[in-house]
Amino acid sequence: MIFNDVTYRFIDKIICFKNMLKVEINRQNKKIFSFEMFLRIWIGLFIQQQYFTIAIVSFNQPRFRPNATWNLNATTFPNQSFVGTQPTGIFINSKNSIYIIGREIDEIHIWQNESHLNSTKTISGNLLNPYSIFVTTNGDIYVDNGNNGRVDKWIVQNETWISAMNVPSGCPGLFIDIYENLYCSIVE
Amino acid sequence: MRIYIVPLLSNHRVDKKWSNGTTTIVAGTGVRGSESDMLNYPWGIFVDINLDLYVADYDNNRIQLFRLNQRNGITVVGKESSKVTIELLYPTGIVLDGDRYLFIVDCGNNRIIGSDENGFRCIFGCSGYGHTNDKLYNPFSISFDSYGNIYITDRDNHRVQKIVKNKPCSKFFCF
Repeated sequence: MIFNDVTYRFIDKIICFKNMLKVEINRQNKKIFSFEMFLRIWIGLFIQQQYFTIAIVSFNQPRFRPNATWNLNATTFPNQSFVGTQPTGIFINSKNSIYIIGREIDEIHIWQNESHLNSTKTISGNLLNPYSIFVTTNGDIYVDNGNNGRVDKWIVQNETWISAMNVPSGCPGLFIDIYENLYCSIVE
Repeated sequence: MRIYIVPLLSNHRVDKKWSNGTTTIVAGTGVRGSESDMLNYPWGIFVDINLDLYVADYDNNRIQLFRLNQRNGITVVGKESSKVTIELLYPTGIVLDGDRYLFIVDCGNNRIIGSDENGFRCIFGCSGYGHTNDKLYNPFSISFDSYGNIYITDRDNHRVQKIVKNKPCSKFFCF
């Protein structure tokens, strides 16, 4: 049975609703599903969806059941011409926008809101063989530009580049923790 | 903003750089090596909400965990890990899922390692490198979407691969 992503989200909601109903029934020790119970669960669900799924981190950390499995055949995303011959860095934010950079392209390609067709946005920079990319919750983008001696930051509000830190060479790993400390692993 | 730097071939240590420009070391001795306080080509990094730093220690074939303010790393995955895990070959990428289980790009083995309460296992590309849709060739980094699908930069196949999570099925429906 083939469902699209919206259907999955709806099913997730139903499962969540079912689980919360179980908890409510146990808690109130009532067998009858009252309007009050419905209201309580719906508000709970709303809060949960609005606030708890928007994590303090900018990326996704899904939860899995034990022994979860993945399809053994992958699909190629997106079209090869957008990622160059050596795609290296990928970052998916909590809204499922996908950011990709590659070694020999000096652009960031962004697919917003799961659009799987053409690259929906391209940001050009003076990047030299970038390895890694990290995007913060407000949409600012940090990119390895180590071969130019820097980690660069794209400020989304002004649409400008600034230098975020100086590094001796490229960073294959780039990370920003919840206190906005910037980490870069350097291998040369 | 405070800045940490995780190096380095040149001095193989982890520095912490503050906004005023001063740099302090948070891990590593300045010598490239395989002791618990050393690194050898640190590659992908991940910092969880407790500020524990996970490093894909490429040439040491291991994942090192540096707890906040600890200079000695703990090998959490690899041949020399204290618990039985899985053998890695040149790991390049690391992420943690919502229950803090590790997912690793095992670049040298061209496969993706996942983990859960039952331990570590290969979840994709388990039969060696290749160019077909079930294989990878020098994969580099990893990211999850919100549905639990995994995206991999499959570097030497010149593509980005989306690995779709299977939905658990009941008799009639898949959820």
